[in-house]
Amino acid sequence: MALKDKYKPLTDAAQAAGITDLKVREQDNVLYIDGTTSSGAVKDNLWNIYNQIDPDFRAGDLILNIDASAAPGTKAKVTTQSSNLNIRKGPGTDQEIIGKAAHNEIVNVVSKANDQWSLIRTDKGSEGYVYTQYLTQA
Amino acid sequence: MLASAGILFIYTGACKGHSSEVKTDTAVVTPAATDNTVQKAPDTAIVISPDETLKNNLTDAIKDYPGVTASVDQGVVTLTGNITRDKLPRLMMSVNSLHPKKVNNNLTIK
Repeated sequence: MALKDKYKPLTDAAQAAGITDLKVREQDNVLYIDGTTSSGAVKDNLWNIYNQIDPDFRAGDLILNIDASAAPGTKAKVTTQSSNLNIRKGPGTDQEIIGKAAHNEIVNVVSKANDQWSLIRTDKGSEGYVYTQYLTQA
Repeated sequence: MLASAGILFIYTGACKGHSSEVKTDTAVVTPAATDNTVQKAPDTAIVISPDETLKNNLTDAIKDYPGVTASVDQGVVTLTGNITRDKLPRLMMSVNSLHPKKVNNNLTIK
């Protein structure tokens, strides 16, 4: 089965959810779906559909890259599993930890350093870099 | 009344001398709020990160998943080790966002 057909429920759902800049491309037997949304719930739903089509993501034939990270100038909620989020001096886990943001704390997103790291400021005034995956648009 | 209000308005504009700039600023506000995302690649190109970039970013991505190991070969990421099923989607989201060519999930799910 062609990959676009296999993952059609997923691309249909992405279109229906109004994913911005949605791109669906195939190369070397891998389907690449990219897009942006301001809703963490929409992203989670698309991943649930992916998991239904390909249980436990075993096939290695899809790269699903939906960016639901909080935009600069907005507020984001710290969505770690339960622990505090490390705030670092620079964008990378090799960088010194200079503070913590609590689980579920609302922080201010200052800018995006790159795809993985965002510069944030807490209400207490701590400023530094955190792993964007743990921020959800508030 | 009306005439004096009109004069006042004109005077204020002349005094600032930036009426056109103010208009431009106002007009830009809405698009700026939606355009400040990370720069997008051209429509046609599929961006694959270099192995060195992938390796560095994978270190960050798997840091919170003890028991998970990641290797990279020509853009292909292979995940090995152990994970619980509830944590798998978050890990996969993170790895998929690094622009790999492919992800082989060889993790044992406990």
